Amino acid sequence: METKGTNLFIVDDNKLMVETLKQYLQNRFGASMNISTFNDGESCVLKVDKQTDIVILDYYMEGKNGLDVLKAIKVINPKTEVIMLSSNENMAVAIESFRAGAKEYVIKGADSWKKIAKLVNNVVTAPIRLMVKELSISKQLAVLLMVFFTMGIVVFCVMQIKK
Amino acid sequence: MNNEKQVKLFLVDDDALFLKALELQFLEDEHFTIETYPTGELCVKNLSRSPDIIILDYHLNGVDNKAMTGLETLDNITDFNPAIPVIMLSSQDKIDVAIDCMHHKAFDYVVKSETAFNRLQKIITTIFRYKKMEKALNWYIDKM
Repeated sequence: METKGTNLFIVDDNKLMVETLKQYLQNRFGASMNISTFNDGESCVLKVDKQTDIVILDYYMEGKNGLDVLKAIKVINPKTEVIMLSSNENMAVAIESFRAGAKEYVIKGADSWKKIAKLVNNVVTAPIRLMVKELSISKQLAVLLMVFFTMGIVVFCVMQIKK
Repeated sequence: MNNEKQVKLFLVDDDALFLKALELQFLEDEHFTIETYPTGELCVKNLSRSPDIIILDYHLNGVDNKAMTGLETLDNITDFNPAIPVIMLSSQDKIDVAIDCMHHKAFDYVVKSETAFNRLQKIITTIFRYKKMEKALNWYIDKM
């Protein structure tokens, strides 16, 4: 799997919906977002690893339902943030999803993509917000530190390859 | 259910009639000891009395609008001890309210209805099944 940037999976048996959402998020977050798409839970679970940052997961799918897939993802990588997507307001499924570790439960509708983009942005910027909170520094300084830290890692990797 | 000792339940609701009805239903089962509180403030004040489970109304400021809300009370409970399972009770069947409660670390959300008591009983059984599994898991981890 990809390692640079944010690795995001979209899982839905509606192929058109998957491709359109992928395009929407790619336009919004640019090339730093590595987006993989799947049309069933089983093939997604096979590809989830420690590098998977975010999974946008439909609940109603043929084969494994979203809740089973969510549980399987959390076993492989508990740090992967899972956003559940559903076409109806099933309160029991929503509650069970949160108990299984979902970050959010989004009902498909007019503004659901905006909500997803906002949640993805929250996950991506979480390290900056953590630095602002823990180190009591400004957001700008936190971004600068993050860039400096990332550059350091890149330079270190390049030097190692050259050796 | 826990056979060794009684389960201490805190019931918190500003609706005195509903609170009494719920208390009477739970008292029919000898496994439970019940403490009832009409406000979130009183519930929080008595958390040192070690409840096993708290059943908490979502709208606690219906009578006094300056009183602590259900979510504020829930936040206070999780700050005090995040291991206490809190079941939220509400007359609202909106999914957004349930999701909001889950974000605030509730264990479950029950809509007040004729079947609410049965749902609460099932959830309490689930809580003890989870606790038993957690205990067994910790035992295995210690052995490893």
